[in-house]
Amino acid sequence: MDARMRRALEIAAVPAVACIFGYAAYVGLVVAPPDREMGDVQRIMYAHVPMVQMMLLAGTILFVCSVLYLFRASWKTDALAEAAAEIALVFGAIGTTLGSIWGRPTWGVYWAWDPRLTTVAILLVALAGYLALRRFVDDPERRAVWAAVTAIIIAVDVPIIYFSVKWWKSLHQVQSNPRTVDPQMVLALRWNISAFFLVFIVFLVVRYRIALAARMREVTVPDSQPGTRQAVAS
Amino acid sequence: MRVPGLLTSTWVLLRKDLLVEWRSRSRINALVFFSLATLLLFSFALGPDTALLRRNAGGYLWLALLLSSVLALGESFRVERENAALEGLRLVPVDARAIFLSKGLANAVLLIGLGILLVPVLIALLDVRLVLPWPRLFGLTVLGCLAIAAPGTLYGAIASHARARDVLLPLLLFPVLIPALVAAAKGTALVFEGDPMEQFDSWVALLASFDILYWGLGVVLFPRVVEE
Amino acid sequence: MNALHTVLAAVGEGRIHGGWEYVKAAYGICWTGLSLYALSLWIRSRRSEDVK
Repeated sequence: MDARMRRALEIAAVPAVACIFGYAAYVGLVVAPPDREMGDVQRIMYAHVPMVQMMLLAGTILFVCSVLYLFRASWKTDALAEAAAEIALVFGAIGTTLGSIWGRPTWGVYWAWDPRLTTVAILLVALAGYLALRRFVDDPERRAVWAAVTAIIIAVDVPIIYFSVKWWKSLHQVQSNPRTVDPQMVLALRWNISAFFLVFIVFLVVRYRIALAARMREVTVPDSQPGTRQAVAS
Repeated sequence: MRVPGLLTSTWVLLRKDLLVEWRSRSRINALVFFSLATLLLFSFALGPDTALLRRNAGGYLWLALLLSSVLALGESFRVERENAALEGLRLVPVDARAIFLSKGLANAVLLIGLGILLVPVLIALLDVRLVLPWPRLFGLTVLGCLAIAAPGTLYGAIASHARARDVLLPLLLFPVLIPALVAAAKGTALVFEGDPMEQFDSWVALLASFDILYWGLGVVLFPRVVEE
Repeated sequence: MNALHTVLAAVGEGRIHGGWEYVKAAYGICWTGLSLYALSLWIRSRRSEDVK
């Protein structure tokens, strides 16, 4: 595929994704029926669930890239890790806020110290720490190694945090089995997960490119003379 | 020159670290007074209902230890950094894992000492009593301080070479330590209040698992952190 | 027929009535948040390309 066609496709992708996103919102807000118990508040789930799922996906990408980096150093892996971390934080923060808003009319409170909620909150703080670390280390190679180490420590901790809080308290809604849920709700959820996933991919690709460009700027000599060694984005 | 084995290196370095700490006793004194001040602060901010204070004493103990650990860990690497001692050690060549084990153990020893000191103060200040036998509290303190020391040493090494290191260390460390904090604080509360439902052992198991995992991770990852 | 209407009125559409303010707040935050982030990405992307 030549460069111009690829560029055209990329530019077309944004409005296409926006349309799909709009349609999914329509399905969630208009087409899907209100819940038997929660009423229309249920519709918040069509945004909350995908956002949190994307956060988990981003977190997984971050973890995999970090492990990969320690085995084979590559600026691409490092850039992808940086992108994944930031997106995980953004999607996670918005997703948690949505869950909080949902919680007020249903549970009666904005916050509850249940395992899933608490684990996500801790994870968000940890991600902020990860991003702070990246910002406060100037040497690109050290930054990449230390960030990878930090991400691994965080990732390993997530299940432990979850179990420790579970022993401490529990409340979160049990995940509905799609078979017991109205098929129109399942449809709405599936449309929204797909739509949010596409948005996620667009964001990830853009953020990855920003990170990789920054990395290249850091490691290449600005006005290089022929014959000067340059870093390759291997 | 034969490179000493891992255990020997660890032991030698540990003695060095403890000796350095002992020689700069003023640092330890400052740390002790800091942790005592923290306990006092909690009492004032959350008192004077003694029943409430007594119920939360376990939490206060571990919060005081956690906050003190940030100072202790920061200091532990500042000393190395000021004399480029870490680089010197790497040139010897000492196994980086020995550095991690010795630094981690030295930090743990310091924290355990702090913990032991704080318990009688807690008993006096917050009117708590040991309902479970004291060896349990001691064991819990050892496991808890080991839990703080492992990721603390790892992150301490990282933060000491970064900007804003005084903020970065607690920011990195606290989220990771939450399970250990929960387990240690809950276990301590059980020691002070009694354990009718026999939960103490579960908390110990959680702490022990955390320790094994993070000391293992530390040994594997620390060499990557300090390599050039 | 009247009895059926009475029963249906009692059951209602859901235990929580209305609640659209919450839905609006939630979707508003979601869309605003994502848009702001998209904007931030776009600006940084432009800046990144300008430097090259």
